[in-house]
Amino acid sequence: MKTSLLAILALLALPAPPAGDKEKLREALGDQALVGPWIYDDLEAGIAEAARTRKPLMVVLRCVP
Amino acid sequence: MDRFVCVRIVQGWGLDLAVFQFDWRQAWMVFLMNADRALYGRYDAREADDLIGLRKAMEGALELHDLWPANKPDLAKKVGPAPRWKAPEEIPALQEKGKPRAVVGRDGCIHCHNVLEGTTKSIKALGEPMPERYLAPYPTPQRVGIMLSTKERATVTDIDRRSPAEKAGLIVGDRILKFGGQPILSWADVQWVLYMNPDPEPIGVDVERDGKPATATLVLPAGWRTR
Repeated sequence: MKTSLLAILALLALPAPPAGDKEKLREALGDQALVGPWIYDDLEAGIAEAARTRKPLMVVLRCVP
Repeated sequence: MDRFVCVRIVQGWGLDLAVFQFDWRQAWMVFLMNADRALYGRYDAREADDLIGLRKAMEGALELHDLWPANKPDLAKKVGPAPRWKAPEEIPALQEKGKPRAVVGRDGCIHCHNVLEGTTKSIKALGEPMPERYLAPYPTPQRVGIMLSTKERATVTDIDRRSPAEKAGLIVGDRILKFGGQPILSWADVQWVLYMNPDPEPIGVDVERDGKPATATLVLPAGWRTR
């Protein structure tokens, strides 16, 4: 029943790791293999990007396992 | 995926509880929304044994996004009324967790389940009566007799006998398009409507049945949340 979030993200073919100061968080999450423009722990940055690109947002709430 | 801006939130500090209201007991949750903070839909861990459902929900979100803002009235109730505490750290029982700070691991975090626990604990500490909604939070569709496919947005796979759903005339194969007037992308969306319903108000259901539109009215018996 419980599919890991990592498996979900991989299945959805997400790209690209976040940059810079989120590296430790990314390691803790085990997201090193992911690629793609994910924004970590910054909803306002996501909102701003969605406004700029006129895209909808997918916000995933999941703590560090 | 590239049609969405993807955000991952790993801790509850500063979480906008006016927008992010969900079944706090879930291991993870997806919100599909827009830059105006309007919600298109929710998707929760319970549905995740089949990821086709998430893909279908995302497709539905894109359809709703194309219609925005003309569909604003339909989406308004996907967000609840202003919460008593705007962020988890404002909940009195969670004050002991300290001030908001960056989180890397599990430690020092306000977890999702803390929000529900902290809310009920705070209400008790204030000596106030516990709202029935908190006694049985986020009732599942099964509670009113509806089983839904995890491979679709909200397609009925079974109906319990003598349940409110059967009495409403819902049948297997019905695709729920709207529930309580809200566009539905997932099981979690149905759950949200049930959670927020001002009992004993009946819930209108718009379905697609054999390719044609149909409607039903779900009448909820007294005490349906807790019995």
